[in-house]
Amino acid sequence: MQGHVAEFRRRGVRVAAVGQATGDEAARYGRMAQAEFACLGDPGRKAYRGFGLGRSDWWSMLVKPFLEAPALAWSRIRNANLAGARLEHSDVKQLGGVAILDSQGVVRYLHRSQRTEDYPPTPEVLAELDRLSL
Amino acid sequence: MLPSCAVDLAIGERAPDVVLLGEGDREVRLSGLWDEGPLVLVFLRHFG
Repeated sequence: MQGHVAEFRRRGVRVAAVGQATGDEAARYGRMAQAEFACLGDPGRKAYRGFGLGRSDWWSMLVKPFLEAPALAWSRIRNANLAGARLEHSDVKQLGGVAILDSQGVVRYLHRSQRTEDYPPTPEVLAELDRLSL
Repeated sequence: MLPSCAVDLAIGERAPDVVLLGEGDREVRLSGLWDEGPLVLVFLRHFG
């Protein structure tokens, strides 16, 4: 999303990132990343559970990637920034997702990640916003 | 093996009005965000 925030703003849409962290940890990440969107913490993962975001398993996280695409898996391991995963509130198996909510709080789009790197491309989210005409 | 999901929130349903935390653990209710307009929420696996 970083780098595309202007496109969201142009559509009158706000972006917020949620992470498994305290409010201070989330804010610190936002400053370090120079995020153009709000970074908020959900240390108890209530929002994650409320949106039905699942958890992966060790096989899918550690074995399957090496069976399917070993070079890519090794590259991800080498380039992984695990600082966030070491936070006290972080569950490494927790999967992410993307949701679009309208101004009434109704879920209009929901992508639940099926594996750790599974996020919709930003252009797809923007196209969905255009389709929804919120 | 499919990821385990705790809740089956569906498109068209109202999102849970959970409390998130801003700097200083300032409480930010999700409804306070969507009240300001459409919102894209990105749930990260972890920050960083």
